[in-house]
Amino acid sequence: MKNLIIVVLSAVCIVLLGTIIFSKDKGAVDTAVNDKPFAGVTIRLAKQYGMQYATGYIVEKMNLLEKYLPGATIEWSSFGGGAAITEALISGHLDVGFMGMPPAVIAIDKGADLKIASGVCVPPFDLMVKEERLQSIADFTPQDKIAIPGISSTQHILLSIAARDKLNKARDFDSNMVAMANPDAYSSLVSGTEIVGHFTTMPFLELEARQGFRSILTGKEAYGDASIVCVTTGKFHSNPSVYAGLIGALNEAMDLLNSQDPKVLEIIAEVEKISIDDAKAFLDWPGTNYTANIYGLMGIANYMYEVGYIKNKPELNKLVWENARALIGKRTGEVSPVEKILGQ
Amino acid sequence: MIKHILSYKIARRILYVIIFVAVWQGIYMMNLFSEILFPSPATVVNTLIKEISDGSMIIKTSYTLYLIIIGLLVSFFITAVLVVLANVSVVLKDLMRTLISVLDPLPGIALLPIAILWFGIGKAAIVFIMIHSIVWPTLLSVMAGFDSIPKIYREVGQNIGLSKIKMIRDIYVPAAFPNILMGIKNGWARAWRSLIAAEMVFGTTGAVGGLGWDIYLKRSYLDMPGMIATLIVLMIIGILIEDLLFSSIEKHTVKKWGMVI
Repeated sequence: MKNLIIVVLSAVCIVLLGTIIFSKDKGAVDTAVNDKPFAGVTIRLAKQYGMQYATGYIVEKMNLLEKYLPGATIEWSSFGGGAAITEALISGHLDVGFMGMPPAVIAIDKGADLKIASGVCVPPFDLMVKEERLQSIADFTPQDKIAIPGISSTQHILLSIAARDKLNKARDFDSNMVAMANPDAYSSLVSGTEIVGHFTTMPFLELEARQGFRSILTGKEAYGDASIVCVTTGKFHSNPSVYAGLIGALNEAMDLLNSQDPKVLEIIAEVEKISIDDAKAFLDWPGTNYTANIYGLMGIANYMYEVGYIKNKPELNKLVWENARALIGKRTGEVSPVEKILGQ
Repeated sequence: MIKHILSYKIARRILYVIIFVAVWQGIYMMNLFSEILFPSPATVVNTLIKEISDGSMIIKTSYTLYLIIIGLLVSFFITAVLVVLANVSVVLKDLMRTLISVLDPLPGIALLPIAILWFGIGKAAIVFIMIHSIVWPTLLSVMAGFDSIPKIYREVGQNIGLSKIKMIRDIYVPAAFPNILMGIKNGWARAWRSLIAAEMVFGTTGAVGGLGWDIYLKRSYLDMPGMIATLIVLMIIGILIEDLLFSSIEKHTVKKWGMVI
């Protein structure tokens, strides 16, 4: 009888143990195959701060790449400008970067294996001044300096276009521009140095407006809308499903931004160190649009070619990947609305 | 024969440069890096020749040298005044030492945001940074030089009845000269580094700028051959000043007088 109990108990134990081991094995195999199809893929992205780069940090903080590419390793690093990002993309230290269009156009013109994958934001650009005598850019004397965030920044090219159209000056107006990081420019402007203007975007527009500065030129008046874009390397683009995952994640982030999802407002407030109400106000700021369409690309690239910032005549095929071209559509019949946006 | 040629410093240096260029060309030909980031030596030399012949490199170099000369002259004047004050009163000397120990370790470039707010974005801010970088180390070595003059030198001077001015001219300055020269050398080195660093932080985009600003501009336009060409000019200037100018001053003064430091 005793022996029988031991045998039964042992049998039960073995069956239980076997079930546990078996089910565990099965489970492990299942997760490896189905739940993490992108295990082993590493994506290295560069982010920048400021409202115009919100699409990037929303993708990061809401783990959207992890959602579209389960199992992939996602690495984010911070950069302070487009020039540093293009260097890292070219040298193979990054796969994806967010920047204004001019640094991307310059890198592609130099033969770098990069293309624009998507627009991520059309931000408001304004030239902020305080002095009464400054009513338009025609009133700037050679001593009056305008701060821009960098050479070959979107602001630099937009202001240069305005100078050509309104003053017939183009690159000569460069001597009125000073390259300074936005926070430095803000403190120089407020403390009253020879910097009397700041061509900038959010949140500095709002900060300066509070200090009594006003806009005398918008990016739209200077040229038109100009996108902040997402750029990827050719190597990254050559893996279609991973590339598609990036585009999906970007689109979702932009949709969440435009619909002012509560979680998105929280993230903006945290990253930009502002209140939730301010985050909402910044998203509602006139001229702000989170869209995958690339606004102003060919106009800006052609201008850069005309005045000699780049050497080769820009071609859309060399500047953007196929998904961005697909937004334009077929090349017969009437010009599509997006084609008008691109300035073709 | 080869040994004889290599006994000359200049010959050895030329050999090192040739080896360096050969290694560079070798890496370039192995195609390890994108050509945009790693141009061939020939492209760089062509860019340098082009920029020198169209005059743009000359203008940028002159601007940088002009700024550094202003910085050095003003700083040496300030140092001289401070040294005189330090030798007049013990309290002032103590104050000077405190100032040096507090301010000398502060990198010039760290003061740039303050300099921009006080002096704006023109030459004044850059010269301010240079003065800060030069004055403290120079003052330190000049004061040390005066302090280390053996008492017996002074006593000899007094014994033969030299006037105060003659004491300074013929005894103090020559006796402290190795330290003064070292101070000037340090001052130059610090000024040169802080000037290039400050120029790289801000500048007007189209107007005349110096070599530091040129590097920043070329980086924005991904002009790697141009950047390396400017770096070569920076190196050449460094070598000319430190190796040729200072060593010839040393040769004709300190070494000739037998006071090698």
